[in-house]
Order: sequence, then structure tokens, then C-alpha cells
Amino acid sequence: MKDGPLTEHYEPFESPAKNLINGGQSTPNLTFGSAKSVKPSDPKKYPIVCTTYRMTEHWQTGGMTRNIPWLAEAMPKMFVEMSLELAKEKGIANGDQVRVFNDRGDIEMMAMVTPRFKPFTIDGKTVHQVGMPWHWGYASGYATGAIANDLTPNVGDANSSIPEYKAYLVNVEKA
Amino acid sequence: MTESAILYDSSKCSACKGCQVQCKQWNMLPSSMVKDGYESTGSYQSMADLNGDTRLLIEFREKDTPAGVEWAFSRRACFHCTEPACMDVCPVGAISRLDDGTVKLDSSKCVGCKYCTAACPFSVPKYRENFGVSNKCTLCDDRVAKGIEPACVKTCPAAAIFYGPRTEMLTKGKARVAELKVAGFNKAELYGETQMGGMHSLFVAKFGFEAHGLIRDPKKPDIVTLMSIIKPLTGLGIAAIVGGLGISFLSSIGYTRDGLTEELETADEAAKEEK
Repeated sequence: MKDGPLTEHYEPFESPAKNLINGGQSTPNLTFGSAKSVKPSDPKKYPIVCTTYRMTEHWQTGGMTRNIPWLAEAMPKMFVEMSLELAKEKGIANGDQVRVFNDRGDIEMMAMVTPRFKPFTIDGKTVHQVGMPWHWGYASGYATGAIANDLTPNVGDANSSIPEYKAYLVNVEKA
Repeated sequence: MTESAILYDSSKCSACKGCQVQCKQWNMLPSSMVKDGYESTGSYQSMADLNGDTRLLIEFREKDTPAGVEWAFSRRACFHCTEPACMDVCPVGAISRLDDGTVKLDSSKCVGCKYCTAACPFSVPKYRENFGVSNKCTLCDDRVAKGIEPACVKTCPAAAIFYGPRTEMLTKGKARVAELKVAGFNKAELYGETQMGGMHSLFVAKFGFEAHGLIRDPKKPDIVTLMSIIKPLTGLGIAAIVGGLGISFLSSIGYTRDGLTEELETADEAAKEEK
């Protein structure tokens, strides 16, 4: 293990929280941490935690599945899920077109406002989280949409260089 | 023949929509091929409702409760009622009930009048624009005839849809409801045992009927009952009219109208004179 003999907790490269478990904030052995293209997001400017995930209807960036009408119809649109609390704060209604952005990118998609997302309370502060799938793109397919990886940081973990696409910082506004 | 039924267990369903897509594939039902031409519902649900090319739809309903978010999934398709309103109103007899309880819509007989859509308490049959007929779940009678389970049952990766003799499915469904109640889902219920005379698509509703969008006490619209009275009356009326015409024809054999022949002759002569 490159980051120590035992598993250790580190905060993601971009995090609104302080690592209370040990002295370090994020792992000192990030593989692409110093590359210029990373453009780390300032938690003050971008206070919302964003995560990416997959849907059952699509596979990877949808190069195959968005070209199958049955599957494209089953999950047709790129979206960002957010809590009712965040939506209220930003004046966003379900189905609205919204802009999700940080210093690396700026993408537009449909807002999906749902009680399944709940704000966290971290160190006494309310921290919101949004989530988006990354199956869309513009090149081909019957259903096209914004590219989630325009926002993700290109940092890799110390051992296998797996990109940290599951936790980074953004801001959200109504488009 | 024993009656068969589908049992859908919403507590096991992961809402992956495998059944929805598989239904379209087996039954050769297309999806739009217009780029970005799909509607969006603002949730994970693919479309707002069934349509002419979609016989099965997985629906998503969510409710925030103090015990956590209730995410209720529903398999929306034909329930194959024992007393199907659609069959009663079909003017051409395109909808029939098979021996195993399946309510089948024969598209070769359908004239596309949409009466079935209006009569169904669940508005399940949908008009298929480009074919000019109604369309709904056939419970894969073509597969069942060959001894294979329906396509949705076969494909379900979560083993949330079962198919078999209706009595067995009822027992299984009731047992699952009891299990769910023990696990703390007090509102769990089994849909389809008695509704519309008993359905051949049963539904284990994890959070209760209302949470899954099921109608607690579905009824045939009054007009359907009225139609079942009016239909034989209309039949009698038509028979009376045809009979009356027949009698009128028979009684008038050999009748000639007075003066008619003379008038024609006169007309002929007048024409000759003009020449």
C-alpha cells in the first residue's frame, strides 16, 4: 500500500469537511494531485458536494445503450438529483433546467428534486449534496445530454489511480 | 384448464425496468427513434403512462415519512380481470377471456374505437396510432401456449415477478404480505384477489394500495353496465327493423303503383316527338 501499511481515512481531494481522524486532510499520495488541469474547487465558492453514479438503464457513457431506442426511452435525460431543502434555497422546481458548475466545467441539465436526498449537518453547518449519473454525452445516441465528467477532478488514489469521481465540489443555480 | 396469474412483489422489485424493456422486445413494440424525442417525467419513471407501444411500465412514487422515504414501485400493466369492462364494451368482440383467465385483445379484429380505454377503470388499453388498433398486455399467451413463462417473468433479475396457477400465486402473495407485516410494513396488502371479480395479475403492495397508485375498490363504469342492457336491446331493435323490412318486402310482391307505367310511356312519346 502506497499510502501506509494500514487502511486510513482521508477526506476527498475536495471536501467541505475537516479530517478529524488524523492530521492529514487528503492523502499525500494522490497520483495526479499537482497537475494543473485539476483546478481544485474552493469550498467557500463551491459549497455543495457532488457525486456521480450509474443507472441500470445505461452502461458507462452510454455509447451503446443510448443507441438502443428501448433503453434510451427508459432513461432519456441527464439530470441532477437534489434535496427539497437545496431546491427551495436556490428557487429550483422539479424538472427545471439547472446549471451545475465549478472551476473545471459548467454543465446544464434537468433538476430532479427528491426527498431521497437529505442535507448533512457537518461540524454544525448544513452541507448539501447533489448527485448525477454520467451516462450522457453529445456525440451519438437517441438521447443526448451533458457530460458529468466535465466537472470531476482528475485525481487518482494512491494505489490504483482510480479517479475520485464520487466526491467533489460544485455549485448549483437555475439556468 | 386451471387459471394462471402473474404475481408482482413490489417489495422485491428493484425497479430496474428489465420487464418493461423485455416486454417491448418480445412483443416487437418499438420506441421512438427521434433523437432526444423522449418525454421526461422528472423522476426515474420512463414515461407518464402506458402508450400504444408500451404495455408494461414501472412506476415510481415516493413519500417522505418520519420512518424514512417510502419509495413505492408499481408494475403498471393489464390486470386481466375476471369481469373485464373492456370485453363488455368491445363492439366487435376483439377482447375475449381465455381458459386460463387471460384477457386477450385480438388486434386483427380490433377497429380502434377506444371504447376499451374509456371503460377500463385503470385505462390500461392504449390506442396504437400507426396501426389503428388498441394494445395491451396479452400475458404472453404465445409463450404460455408453448409452456414458457411470460417475458417479464423470465427476465426479472430480482425474482419479483412470478407466474403460475392462480391459487398458488394467491397463497404465495398472502404469505409474502404476512412476512412484510412481521418485518414492520404494516400497510402491506395483496391486490387482485377480489378486485374486478379477481385478477390474473396480483400485486404485493409493500406500502399499501394508495402508495402504489392502486385503486382500492375499482368498479366498472356505470355506462358499461348500461351497455350490457342496451346491447341486447339494440340487437332486438335491429332484428325488429330487419324483420319489418322483410315483412314489408314480402307483402309488397306483385304490387305496382297506379299510373306509373302510363307516365313512363308518356315521357317516352314526348321524347320521340321532340326528335
